[in-house]
Amino acid sequence: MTASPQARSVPLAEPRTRAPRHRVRRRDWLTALLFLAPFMAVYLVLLVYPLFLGIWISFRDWDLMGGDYGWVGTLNYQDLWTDRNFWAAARNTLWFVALTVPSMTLIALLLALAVHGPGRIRAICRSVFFLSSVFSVTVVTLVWAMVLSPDRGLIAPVVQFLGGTPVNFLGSPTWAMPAIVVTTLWWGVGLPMALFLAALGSIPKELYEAAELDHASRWSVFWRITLPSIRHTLILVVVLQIVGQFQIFGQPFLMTQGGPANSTRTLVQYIYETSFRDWLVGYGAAMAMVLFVLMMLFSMLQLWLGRQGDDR
Amino acid sequence: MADVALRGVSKSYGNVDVIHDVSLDVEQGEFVVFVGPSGCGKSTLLRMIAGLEEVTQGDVLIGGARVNDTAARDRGVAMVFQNYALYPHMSVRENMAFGLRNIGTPRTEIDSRIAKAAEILQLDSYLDRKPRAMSGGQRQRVAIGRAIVREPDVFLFDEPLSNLDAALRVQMRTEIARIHHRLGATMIYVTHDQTEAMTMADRIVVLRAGVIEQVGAPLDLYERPANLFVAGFLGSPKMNFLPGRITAAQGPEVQVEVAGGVRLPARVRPGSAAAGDTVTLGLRPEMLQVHPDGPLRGHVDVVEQLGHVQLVYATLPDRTAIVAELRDRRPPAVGTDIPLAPGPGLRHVFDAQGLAITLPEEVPA
Repeated sequence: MTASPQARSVPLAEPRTRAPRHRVRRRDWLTALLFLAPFMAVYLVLLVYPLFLGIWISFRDWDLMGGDYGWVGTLNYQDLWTDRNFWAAARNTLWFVALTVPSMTLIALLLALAVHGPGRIRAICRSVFFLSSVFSVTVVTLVWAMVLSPDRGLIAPVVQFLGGTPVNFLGSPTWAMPAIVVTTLWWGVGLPMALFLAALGSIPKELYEAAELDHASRWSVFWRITLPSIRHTLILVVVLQIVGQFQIFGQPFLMTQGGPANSTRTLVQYIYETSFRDWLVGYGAAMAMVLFVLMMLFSMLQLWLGRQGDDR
Repeated sequence: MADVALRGVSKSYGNVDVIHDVSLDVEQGEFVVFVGPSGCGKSTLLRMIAGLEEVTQGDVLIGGARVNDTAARDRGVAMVFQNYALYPHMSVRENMAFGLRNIGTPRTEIDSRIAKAAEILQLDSYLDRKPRAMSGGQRQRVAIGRAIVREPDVFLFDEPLSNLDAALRVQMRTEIARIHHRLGATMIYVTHDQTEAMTMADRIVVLRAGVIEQVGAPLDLYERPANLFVAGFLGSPKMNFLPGRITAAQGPEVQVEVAGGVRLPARVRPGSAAAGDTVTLGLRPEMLQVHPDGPLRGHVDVVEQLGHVQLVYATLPDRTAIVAELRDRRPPAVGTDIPLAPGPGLRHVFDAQGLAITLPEEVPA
């Protein structure tokens, strides 16, 4: 009974409170801005400003030693069109991404499925598989250069034992890129595996019990329950992988220096060499923009594909 | 449809024993409710019947066959889970069809079973919805539908209504009772809510700390509780327990002195009590009346007005809390003293160990 007079009084009171409410709202905004300010400052200075600076530089003839020879319009971009080294680097990068992203996702998922759940052995395996992620690229490439070495490597004796001739993986235009892919997989599988483990852990166990009572086969359980339940993590992993692997630099730079015969020279390495070895910063910036657009396109495509079926 | 039997079933997790030597027979078509406080092992017992928990010792029989080593899927049981456990990525129809498809049921058969279940549960217009677009009550209906289409020998319910609000719980309670009536299937239902147990069960199994305290028809347990625990667990508000002492015993007739000197007559099994014994007198709230000659003087602390009845919470001179369920539109005021008298009805007597020694013949027909 006491509720109705209150309810009636609301519309009457509203016109009187309108003015102060505006003031309150403005104060809320100021408070919000104040809290956002530190992040905004870092975001603007370290992300937005460099991005636009990069775009700006890409339209100029810019020398690393500070020589700005002025606006050249789209000349840098036109040069890209005819630069065979650029296209080779782009092709190598795409090839690397195409090899790495699906296999990384699949291996991370399989490992997560294998080590998910209770038990001490599984817990140890989880730590071991994640351990490689904490090494620096220098250590990882050094280890793998030794593993892959045709004279002193780990693989060579096995090949010899089986009666084959050891392959100089890093010296072969065919095998160098796959070797870098394997190195990258070994190095980077920990994080996506951890993401998958977290997703698997959040699937209610009753779903599996219901599926057991529903006579679901293991394949059906995986396909109809596990996979749909971790779909969002799957998309996240793929997008993170695309963004990360497009920026491949350290592994080929340290293991093959882009060789043999430019077969492992990737876009970031080419951008680095153009900007910091040949001092053509404007041209390098133009390439960086292309890489940026490529990464954005693939990521958005993946996000869009992932959202299909979300609201059905 | 099948009967279920437990023969000396025990369950331990490492050194912790959670179920102790439980034996029970559930008849074909019976609706049996396992009830007890949290952690009493009722869900574990149900999951052992389902095959989702291993049996440490003893045998589980379904339809006369020992199923200890039979996989859950092959036991002919369907289970309704507390959190529904619907497959979130499948529509209602797919949720119900999943189990049938997995065993290769023909499409037409699946469709007709789903149609029948949807009709029983009034889900016809929701068949193409995903669970997340449905309310709690609808989801629970889908979960029940998923069990129905399987046409199992035994239905198992694990606290299926505890995630619903009070009004919906009452509605679903009657709905499940209706389904049981219609299907006539064997159903085992776990709950911590004694009201659900009392209203739905053919027979109630009261559990405490992994042990069956008592098994029987709801009214049987209500009127003839075997011990203090069962007496206190069934009934709302719970039975009043008045600590007392037997002052005189002659055959079944005894005098129990309670509340600092009030002597109330009661009937016990002959020979089960002697003068001087410490006992507990149990009086249901509904048998207490306000009467000018009432021997029990209660100081009114709280009055709850429920419309059809009034619950009066009072304290006796010896500080025993007591509750009376009155049917008086003008209940006593808080802070006043009222005379209370036990009206007609059984006065329960429990011995020092908490076991009932009440004379059973006393139960009114």
